[in-house]
Amino acid sequence: MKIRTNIVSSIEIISYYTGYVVLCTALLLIIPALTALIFMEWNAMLDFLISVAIATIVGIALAGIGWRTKQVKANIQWKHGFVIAALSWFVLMILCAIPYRLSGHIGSMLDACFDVMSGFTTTGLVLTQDLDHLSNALNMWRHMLTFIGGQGMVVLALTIIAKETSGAYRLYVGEAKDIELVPNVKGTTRIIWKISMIYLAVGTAALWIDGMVIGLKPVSAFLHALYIFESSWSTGGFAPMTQNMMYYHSLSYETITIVIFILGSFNFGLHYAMWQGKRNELVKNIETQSFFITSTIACMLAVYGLSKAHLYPNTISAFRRIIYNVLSAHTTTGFGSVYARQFALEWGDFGILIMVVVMLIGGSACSTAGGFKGLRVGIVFKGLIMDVKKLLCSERSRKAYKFHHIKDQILDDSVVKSSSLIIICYMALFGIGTMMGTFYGYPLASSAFEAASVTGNVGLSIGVTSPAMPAVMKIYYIIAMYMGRLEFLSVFALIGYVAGGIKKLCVKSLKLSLKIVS
Amino acid sequence: MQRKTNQTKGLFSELLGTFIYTGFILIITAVIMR
Repeated sequence: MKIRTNIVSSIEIISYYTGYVVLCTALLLIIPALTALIFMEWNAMLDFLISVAIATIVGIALAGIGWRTKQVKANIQWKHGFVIAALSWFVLMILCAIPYRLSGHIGSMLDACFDVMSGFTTTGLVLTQDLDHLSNALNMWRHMLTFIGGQGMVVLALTIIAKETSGAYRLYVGEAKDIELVPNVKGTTRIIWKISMIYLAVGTAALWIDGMVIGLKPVSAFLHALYIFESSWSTGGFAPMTQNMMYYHSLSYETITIVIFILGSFNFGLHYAMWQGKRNELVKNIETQSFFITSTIACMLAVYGLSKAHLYPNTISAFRRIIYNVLSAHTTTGFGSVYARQFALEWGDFGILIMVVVMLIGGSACSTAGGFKGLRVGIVFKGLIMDVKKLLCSERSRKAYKFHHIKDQILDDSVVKSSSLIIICYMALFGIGTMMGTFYGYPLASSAFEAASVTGNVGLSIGVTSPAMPAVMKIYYIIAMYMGRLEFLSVFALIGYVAGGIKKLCVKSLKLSLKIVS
Repeated sequence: MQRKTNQTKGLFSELLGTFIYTGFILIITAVIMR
């Protein structure tokens, strides 16, 4: 009997590429290990060396299960791409939590997984205790997670792949990106990293200089600049100190971070178009137009609403406390310039409502930002206008409606429908999160705020997220951050794939037991 | 050479555009706070 060795099962394909993504990300654990070596943090160095070893073994094992994939050059289908993206994020969440757990700053493996998922999804909610006394190595790792998560682990792996993989585009789309800057995916991922690295150099330099001006020592200023840039650009929201942005007490530092996180929330396609010479893209693009309108209205409403409470006496304090937080929420960054409880106790229901809305809207598609994206808001709004115009026009007239997103695109019912479906999914996730918070006794406004922060991958907290939070809520928040970041399809594909596998197993066992009985 | 020039100009345009937007928001805040 001839054995068909040229057919590779889906499990082998998924395992191989998941192992590859795990290996590429796990090798990055060497950077915090080197940081620990430089700063002579021996305990931290040991933690990271153990983590590198475990992650490398797991990555090699997974790739080994699917070794025939490379030999026969198996074709990756769409289902594989989505499942690989979702599965690799899940596996990496556990592996990257190991250094957290070993550090002693985190209460449980669940809390460690929470922080890692918060980093990967560029949310920024934190359960790590005693943040001010973390080792430089662990701080480096936390902020790296958020920087890598912003670009995407699959994007990182595709950048490193030696030659173009058939089906690479399917892997790329599985991580909720669909923009093609150049005709090949490897080129696109390299451009994404190039843009990020150039901004890393410029942004870190600006923050480093400003850090020294405000009084930080040179080495400390550099590390803070690097961490804050990584968090700003990836719209992550992690900060090296518990007080977040309040630690710096500096308008200039805050202003630089505003510029970085707004730019970080823009589509990589927009950056690329600008860098190709199409500078009017900044004004013509539907996402920048949408962001400009929604953020300006939100800022105006928030300032007007909170000025009536006389919380902030002058323009500069209003800019630093209100505008900063509204823009941080809208870009889903999560840097806070007020304490968590101040949102609940001082801002009132109107202020909280503005924040909830902007957190849900979020930033741009194919960027590091979360939320249901300005692009979808723009498309749904234009879709509504299109439907009204169709009603008012003669029945015999035929008109094509367009929107500009990098290039002119036709606005048809299928585009509006897919945008609306994703918005509905986000709202469902938000609704369930709010219900869960109220079920566990948190006030409605606080539950809604935290649920919006988690769903939109923002990271601002009103005080609900803490190590004392019920475990069920922590698990739900992990799932919500994960689904929100991967925009549902990959996670649904993974769930469907696993459910399908379990169903097949059950049917096989049932048939086997029936055969035995008969 | 042209590509590098475009990239540099693009980078500065983005930074300038964002600074201008931030300044615009600051002005609006000042007007409302009056």
